[in-house]
Amino acid sequence: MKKHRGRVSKTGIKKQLRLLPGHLIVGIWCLFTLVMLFWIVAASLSTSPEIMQGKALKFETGLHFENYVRAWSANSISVFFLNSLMYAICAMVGSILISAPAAYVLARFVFKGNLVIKSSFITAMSIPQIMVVLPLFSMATRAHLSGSKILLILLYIGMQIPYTTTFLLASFSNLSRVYEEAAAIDGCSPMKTFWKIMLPLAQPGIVTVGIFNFMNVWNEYFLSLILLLPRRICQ
Amino acid sequence: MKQNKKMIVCFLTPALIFFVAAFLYPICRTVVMSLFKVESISDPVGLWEFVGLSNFADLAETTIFQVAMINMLKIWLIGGILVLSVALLFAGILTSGIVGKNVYRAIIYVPNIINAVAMSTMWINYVYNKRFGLLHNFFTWIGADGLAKLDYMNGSLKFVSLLIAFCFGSVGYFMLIFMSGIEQIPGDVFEAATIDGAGKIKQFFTITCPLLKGTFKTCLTFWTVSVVGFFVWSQMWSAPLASEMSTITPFIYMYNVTFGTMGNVERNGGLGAAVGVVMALVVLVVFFVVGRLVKDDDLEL
Amino acid sequence: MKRKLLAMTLVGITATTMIMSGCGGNSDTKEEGGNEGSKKEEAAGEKDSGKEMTYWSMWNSTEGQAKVIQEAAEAYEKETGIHINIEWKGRDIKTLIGPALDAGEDVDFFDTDYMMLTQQNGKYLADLTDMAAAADYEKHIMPILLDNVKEWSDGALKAMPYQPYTTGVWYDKAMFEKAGVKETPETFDELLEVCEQLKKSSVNPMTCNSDGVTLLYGYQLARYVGQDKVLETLDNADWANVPEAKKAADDIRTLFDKGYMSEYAPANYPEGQNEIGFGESCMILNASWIPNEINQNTGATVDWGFFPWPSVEGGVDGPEASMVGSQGFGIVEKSEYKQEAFDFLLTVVTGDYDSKMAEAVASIPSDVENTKWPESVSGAEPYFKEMTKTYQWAVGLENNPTYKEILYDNLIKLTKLELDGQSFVDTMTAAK
Repeated sequence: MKKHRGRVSKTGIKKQLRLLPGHLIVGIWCLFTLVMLFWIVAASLSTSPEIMQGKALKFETGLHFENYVRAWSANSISVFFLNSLMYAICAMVGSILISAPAAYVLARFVFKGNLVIKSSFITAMSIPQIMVVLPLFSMATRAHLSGSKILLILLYIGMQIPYTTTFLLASFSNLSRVYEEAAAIDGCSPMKTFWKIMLPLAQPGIVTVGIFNFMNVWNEYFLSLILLLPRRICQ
Repeated sequence: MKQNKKMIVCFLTPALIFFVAAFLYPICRTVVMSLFKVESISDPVGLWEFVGLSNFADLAETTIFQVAMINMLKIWLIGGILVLSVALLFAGILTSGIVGKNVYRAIIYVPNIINAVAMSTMWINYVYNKRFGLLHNFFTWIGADGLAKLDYMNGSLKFVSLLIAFCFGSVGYFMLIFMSGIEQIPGDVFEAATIDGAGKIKQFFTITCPLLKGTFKTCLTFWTVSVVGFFVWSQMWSAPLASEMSTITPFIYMYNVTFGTMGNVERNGGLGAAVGVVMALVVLVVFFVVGRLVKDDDLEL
Repeated sequence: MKRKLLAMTLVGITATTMIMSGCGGNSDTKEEGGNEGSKKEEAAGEKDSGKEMTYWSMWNSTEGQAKVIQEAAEAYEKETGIHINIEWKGRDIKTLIGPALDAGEDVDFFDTDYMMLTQQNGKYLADLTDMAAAADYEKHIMPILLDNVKEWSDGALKAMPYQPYTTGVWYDKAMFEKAGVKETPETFDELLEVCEQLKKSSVNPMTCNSDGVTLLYGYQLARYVGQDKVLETLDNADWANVPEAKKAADDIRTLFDKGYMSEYAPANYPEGQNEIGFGESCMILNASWIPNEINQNTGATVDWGFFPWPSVEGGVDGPEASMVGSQGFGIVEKSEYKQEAFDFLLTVVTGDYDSKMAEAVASIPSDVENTKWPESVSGAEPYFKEMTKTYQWAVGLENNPTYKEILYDNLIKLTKLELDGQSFVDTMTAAK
């Protein structure tokens, strides 16, 4: 990475000039994206009549920060928000805590069934949600019945397992075995080695997959739609 | 060795339990359910009525389901070509040593993390609005009045506008996958090529693309899965609480037959499950064909 | 470190957009908002019976109806000590309540469109006939609504209709005046004349949302042949043998062809209807919630007039027939507190809270004894009271689940002038 950057600065401007078409293509795309994001922010500070008249960007009636206050205090929105946050965080942490050890064993040890498990996780990733969502619905309504959110969170965790495990599997296989050997010489048990040494080493991968999981659950739409969970803001 | 065994069991069991509960069991149940007539999706198994393959036969005869399948196929094919080629192009540009790579990457990725509801609201109210939308203003500005008058939200253009909006948001995700694929290609391959006098563009086509076969396979699988799960966008593009020919997808159809729609007193969870099974088969076929066509000879993601 | 920062930013952005999607373009929630605070605990003051009922609502907590219901629930709790848990579920409740009840969800009463309520969810509902008789409930409610409810559930009273609506043409009175239109049109030809006059005064005579095309065609066809025949034609896809199907299609096409419709019509919901609020268009065929919706969304203060969809030459139906509907409360058969729920709902659908709700969202009061209609819908009052026939929504054109998308698609093509009456009938026949 460092070497790469050094090279850039040496030939510097000349090289970037040669890349101008690239800058142009990506730049226009980014500009468009930024304009759109800006519009979303502007619309959120505007009023419905203004949006409908195409005046969201003009702020003729000033900035309506009270939209946010109102959105929050109109009683259930804050509940939706906190619910979403809770589901997303629990699913993120939970799926990593469960997947990371599994990914580690799958990456490090040779045993019967290893390959089968790995490939069924990969296959599961390609199973469309539409295939599992109906039974999940009946499971979840039953879970909802017992009045606990816990079963629902468990469901969300379960849905993230194959992806998280497969992703972390790659992270663990890229780690050198030297660490474990050193730990073993120091008399550290394999399990302890995992929690104390290997898991922290895999941090970059864990952070990335954690973000993905968080977003998946946060933006999850269908299951929360059919469960009529009090977390949907729109419609 | 014994300790290892204990560890394997301890570490693997929780993940497997979750896997069985959230995937294996639901998959089996969906398959079984597709052979029954199930009036309410939460009915216990005792109330199911066995109908054999007639759910599938019904599907094959339903015009609206065929329309939904064709819509999905179009999204998959046209959208897939658009999204994957743009994503690959951007990945190529961003890994070429361009200044500002991280900023570009972040901005291109951002639409992926925004709630689809917010994104489609933006597209519909801002970009596609035929009175003051971005496209309208742009075409008026360049003097193309005919183009400025186009109605993107009704009639034949509705599907196209939906497709473009959806694809736009997907590019970032596949670009990231391609980028990580490209970055795994050893740098000396390129250096050798540079010494041989191959230009950046030539390198991209002769070295980068062929070496990305495995990554491409990953992308294709993810793309297929995301197209099959096409729901929110379609819903946002249709009239409130209704579905339309131009935007209906199998997922929407499944929702309608499983939970019932306006005026539709009859519900059949089994038919919905049959849609699910058909979709899963579609994905598996794609998965299999891609696997046969593209032999792994490079690093997987 | 950098990654952590990135993670935090991403999370932040998602969080903000999540909120934004709520207040950005969401037009059907009324934004007058206001501070409701939470009052569960405060209200529990005087009595505490320890009883609790659960209500799943079709409204979102920010809507005008929700506020009035909330108020009624608090008053009820104060008086009886029975607490009502309200879960604001929104419109999707109409399809999702069934599976939820099948799964044993603990709901005492809920509401949705009264036709959906009785037809699709009737099997979950308690028969209220005896309670209604004891409370002399039926005298409060429009007979036509009660008749419908009973007809759909074989004579049993399983729903308490409220928030009734009617449909017809809503127009901006000031524009009629400016164009010199004195009389509201009674026949379709008169409507065309009014359109011509309005067009000369340089406004768009009519507009519609894209989901309004089924209303236009449904009304026109029903004026020719009546609802029963419309439904029959639809079910048998017998378009070719009903000459009126082509005639009605041509009539509707004329409105678009002659430029009597806004050039943007049919526009995406709610852009079409908003044109009236912005002073660009004059008339729209829609339900009685439309005046309030338009005023809310556009901030306009239109002086609303109303006339029923005109009759046609040689047609069977006239202003005495209209699409009428309402929302309805249903009480779940399994509930332990049916009588309590009924008593509470009685306070919502009749008397003070009913007129409060009518006032809050400018809707028609459901209690016939509440004679004062909100200003903006009052134009429909005389017709409403003399109505003898009810049409279903879009005269039933949206009922056939396997067919409605195809019909809708072709109607859009008709209004885009991509089809004419004959080719519309042909494609519809072929689509069977």
